[in-house]
Amino acid sequence: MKAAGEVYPGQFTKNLLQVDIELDPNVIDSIKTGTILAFEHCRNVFRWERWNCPTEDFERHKQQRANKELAFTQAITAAGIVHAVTKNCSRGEISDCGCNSNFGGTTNSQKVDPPSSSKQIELNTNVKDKTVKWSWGGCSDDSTYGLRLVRDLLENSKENATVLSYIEKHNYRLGKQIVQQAMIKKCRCHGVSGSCSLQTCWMQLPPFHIISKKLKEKYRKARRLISENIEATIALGNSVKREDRTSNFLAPEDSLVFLEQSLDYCLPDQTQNWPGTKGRFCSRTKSNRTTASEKRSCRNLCRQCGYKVRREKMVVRKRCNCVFQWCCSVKCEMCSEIVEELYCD
Amino acid sequence: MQQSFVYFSILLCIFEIFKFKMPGTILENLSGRKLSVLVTVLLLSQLACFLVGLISPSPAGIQTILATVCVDPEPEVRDKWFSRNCPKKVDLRYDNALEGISPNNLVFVVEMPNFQQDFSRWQQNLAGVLQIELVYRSGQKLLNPMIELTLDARLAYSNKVKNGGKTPWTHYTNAITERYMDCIFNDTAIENKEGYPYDCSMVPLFELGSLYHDYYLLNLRLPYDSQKELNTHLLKVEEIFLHMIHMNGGFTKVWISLKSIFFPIIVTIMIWFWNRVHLLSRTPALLEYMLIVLGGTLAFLDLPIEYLTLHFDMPYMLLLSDIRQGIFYATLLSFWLVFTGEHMLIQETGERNSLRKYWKHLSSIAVGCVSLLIFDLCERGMHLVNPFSSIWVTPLGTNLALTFVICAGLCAGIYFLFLCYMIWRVFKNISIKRSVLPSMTQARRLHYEGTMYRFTFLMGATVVCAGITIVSFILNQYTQGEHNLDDSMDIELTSIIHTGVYGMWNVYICALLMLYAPSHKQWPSEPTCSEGEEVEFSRLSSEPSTTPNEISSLTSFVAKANIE
Repeated sequence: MKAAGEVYPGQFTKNLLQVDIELDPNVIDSIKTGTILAFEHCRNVFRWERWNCPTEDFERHKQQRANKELAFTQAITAAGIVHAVTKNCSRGEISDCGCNSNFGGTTNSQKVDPPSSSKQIELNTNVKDKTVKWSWGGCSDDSTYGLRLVRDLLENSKENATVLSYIEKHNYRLGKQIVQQAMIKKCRCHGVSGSCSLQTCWMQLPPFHIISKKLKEKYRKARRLISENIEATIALGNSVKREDRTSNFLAPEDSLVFLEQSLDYCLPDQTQNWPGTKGRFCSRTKSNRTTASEKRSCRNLCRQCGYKVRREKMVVRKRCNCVFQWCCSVKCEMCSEIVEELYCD
Repeated sequence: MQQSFVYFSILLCIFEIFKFKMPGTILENLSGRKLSVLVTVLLLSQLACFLVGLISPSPAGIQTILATVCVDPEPEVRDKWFSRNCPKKVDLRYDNALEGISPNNLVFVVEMPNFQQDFSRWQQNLAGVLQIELVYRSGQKLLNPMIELTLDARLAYSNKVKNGGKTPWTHYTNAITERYMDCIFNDTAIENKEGYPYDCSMVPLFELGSLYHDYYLLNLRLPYDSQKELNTHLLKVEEIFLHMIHMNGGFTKVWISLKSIFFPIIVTIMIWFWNRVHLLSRTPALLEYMLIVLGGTLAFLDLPIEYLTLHFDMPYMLLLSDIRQGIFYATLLSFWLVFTGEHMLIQETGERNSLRKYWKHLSSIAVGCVSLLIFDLCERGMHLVNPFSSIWVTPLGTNLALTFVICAGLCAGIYFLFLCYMIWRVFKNISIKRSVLPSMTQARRLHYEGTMYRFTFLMGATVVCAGITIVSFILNQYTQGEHNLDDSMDIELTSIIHTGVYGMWNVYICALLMLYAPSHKQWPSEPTCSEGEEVEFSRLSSEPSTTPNEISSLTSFVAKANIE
């Protein structure tokens, strides 16, 4: 899936993890993988939109505006991290997964966890307790660890309660929640003679494109909040527990939230490092598989921005009629195709 | 008319004694107060069974393990094992890593269990299900293929050593098996399909009846051979997951404890019951035989032989527990049938107390159970020889398995039709008899009332138990696998249902044995049968077995009188 020459957001991870918890290097790796996953899928989903997930937007820097796009970026990053961490859990690379929620191993992580009797017990487990727990009731789903990691690292980080961090946490939580909701339930019967008198079910991670699709839906319906209102709530909420704040009426439970109106993204913007849509490709492909955003891409990217749609005929050599041979060889024919490329000028 | 009615009453009084060799049961003679105490005790123990489920974890646990892909430079040399830290690993997602590698070099390694855990023998058994992630590659035709897989799977085991560390991997079993996998590409609306996954069905791989060792290792290969057409239709495999399902140790502990408590209780009740039957100066009735057999099969089911699995390798445990349950259910079903038949209130033939009378009805149970047994032997029996085998993989095996299962289903259908028909007849007879009850003598009325009471009591209890069982299992299907992030509330409905239902049938059978045991109390019929009847009665009851012809003639008369 990695295409060569693509720049990946490495800085993001580093900024993201400004939490003073010592993390397992494998966890950090997973977080990186998750961010990359989120980025790639963002690219894919926003291919025919004016804003198309530039790498810079996946890096957290100070002058970022809390607009719709940032909200999407935050949510998809959280989702990507859950996804990647869960996968690495099943790979057995993260040793604390599954039977234990203790990913830090340091005192810090204990503070991060909201106090609840069962968690406290879990956190104080040593290897022996872990074994006892495993042989008594098995391990929890692998996704549990990823979900907790996002909750404790991103949502409950101890950053000062500003409006921005409030918005940020909300969007992270939503990203996590989308993964949770999209989980696929799989079951297997193993009762008498293999009948369903005894059935075991588990939740399986969905392919990430399902998550990114759902998140894009949320992006369309994102809600704009008024900064002052949140400030007031935060001021009130300082005396209240952290959990209660998220359930505030200001930020609707299941929508992305943002503060600022987005740019129209037509023209280049120096402060945001945005190149504008000039030179972008658009598509007029019409088939029943074409998405709505692709169909209106030329209008959206070019004409509405005051550019003209230019055509350029190109001969493209493409792989076609490929025959795959398990595992490692692909025999393809090369087909030449005359393609009419459209771009904004 | 009046005359014939008197005769009819006399004869019925006599006939009752022969028909029900179980003259009075405890149920009829128990005072209301005692009965309510007993029922309360039974209900409390039932409640206890449900409560025990509260402390238990879910019956089975699952762990999903992503296979590590190792490279085997010498695939010809077979007796070696690849563990997760093999020297050369490869990531199938990156094409350039795969140059110069042939399919036979690739080994998918799964170490079980994950996360530095080890299996406990309390976890009883292990089933493995493969999930193969296929991805779409550009240039490929979009198909919804059904892929034939050839899997070369090998299992090894290892054990803990006392001073830490493990014993080296030892060969456990290996097999080359075939499986079918359905795949669909259901999201065609994505702009860039490259690398998007197919949605493929899961592939059951193995089933181990015992979990004797601490660690297991799966080395899986997908050999390619264009001539033998092995895995020629396989697309781009990116990842292979193994879902590993094991029983939970906690559940096994709770389960065995339940069994260990029920077993001595049921055995005691059986001994008491049999003593009671033998105290009577007659041969036991058919129903009494049925009850003791039912108790026996329950005791066999309750026998906690799972303790032995903690010390011995018993791969046949799954099969054995299937058979134990099968025997119990078969006996229970037969019992219901015979019980209904014996309470028909009409003596059809002179033949008494023999299972032979029920052969037509019972044959449906027999055929059903035998076909299920054959199916089970083909599936779980074969697992003893080869844990990777499955009857469902070949078309012939699938047909065979379906034949057996459908046959069993048909038999179950026929059985329930039979049973419902018989129950309907009994209730019809009861309503007929009930209308003439006031005109009967006290003795006969008591018999009939007793019989009807016995029957309706059991029917009521059975319907309640069966209803609860069915409802709880349906409920169970719906609530399964609800995802819960904050698992502070660890209530497992599944285990509550399992312990509760298991306890319920135990309580049910204990109650049957206790309430349907013959009573020592003298039923008041002897002194109160009216004068004319008394003579006949005492004469016949003193030598019942010597007058079979008389009985049949009498019963035929009864039948006539019935029509009148």
